[in-house]
Amino acid sequence: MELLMSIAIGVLFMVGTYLMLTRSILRVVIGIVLLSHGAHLLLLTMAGLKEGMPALVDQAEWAYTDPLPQALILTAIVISFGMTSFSLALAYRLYNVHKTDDLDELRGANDD
Amino acid sequence: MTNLILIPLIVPVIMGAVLVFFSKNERIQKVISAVTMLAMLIGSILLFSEVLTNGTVVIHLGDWQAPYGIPLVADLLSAFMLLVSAIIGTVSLYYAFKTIRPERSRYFFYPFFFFLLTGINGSFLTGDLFNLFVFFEVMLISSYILMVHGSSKFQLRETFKYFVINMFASMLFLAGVAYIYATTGTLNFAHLGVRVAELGQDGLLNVIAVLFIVIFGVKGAIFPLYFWLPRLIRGLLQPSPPYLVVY
Repeated sequence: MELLMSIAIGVLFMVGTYLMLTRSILRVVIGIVLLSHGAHLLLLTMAGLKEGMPALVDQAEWAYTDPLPQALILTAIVISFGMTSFSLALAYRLYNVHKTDDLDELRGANDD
Repeated sequence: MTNLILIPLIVPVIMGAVLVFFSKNERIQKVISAVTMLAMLIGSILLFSEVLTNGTVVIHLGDWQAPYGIPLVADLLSAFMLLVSAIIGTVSLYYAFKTIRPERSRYFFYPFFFFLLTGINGSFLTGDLFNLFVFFEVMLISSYILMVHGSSKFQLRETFKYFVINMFASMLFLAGVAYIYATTGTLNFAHLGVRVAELGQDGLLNVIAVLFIVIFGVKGAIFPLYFWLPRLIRGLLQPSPPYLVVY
């Protein structure tokens, strides 16, 4: 299971990095989203995946899944959700003002 | 007196939320933000003198003890940094009073100024690696908004680049947190110090250390990674108030 997750994380990071290096603004935003999903999965996998155990801290249980990574991921997902919506608003405004979504044309002169 | 540590965190976030309601009234906004900023300055001075006389102040949020809960720690360094950020915040707020145009301050300049200060103070005070990430994001999203505030062509363009670079660094930060948690099994700073000493200096910890150098290097613009900073500052200084409390 960890192996499968590692491959998935690798693919997500790869695709995210590739999309961030493209020239279209929307693709860059999607690249950021995929990258953040990769980071969340990494956080989940690095803590170890146990099957068939409850995510509870109970004295009676002899074993339980560590609940901390889930809590961390929940926070991280909320943060990246906020960041994604902000980046979409920013990209839309950028497109409206500059009339282009090509980052090569957004290199810009020094004096405007 | 340990609750004193909460003042630099709670005061700006509550007053920032209050300021949102008065966004159309220039004078009330100025009065509220001036009083808030002075309260934060006084709180930081009191905290600094407290730390100076009685040593480190620690508070466990929700009374959950150290390895499980999130502590806020004010040692001499973080109390000093709080004092510095309060002084710089006061100075730049009073500069903004004189220079910011009303048509811009109406669009939530002051609330985001205080949310930015919340993020900065929080990242100085926290004693937990993941909480540091959260406060960094609070600070960063306010800084994006303050940088694009006014939305001229130049600002929009440069803020987008700043945003992409910082999001990339934030995701690396999250990966670094994951590696730290997998290697040491804790995220508490004090606990981390003990565990890392027990583990010794093996290759994995070196890789994590380099990862964190890259992350904070990109965010804090140290020498080879500063490429995004100069144009951004130019974009800020044109429309006047100094937002760069952080750097």
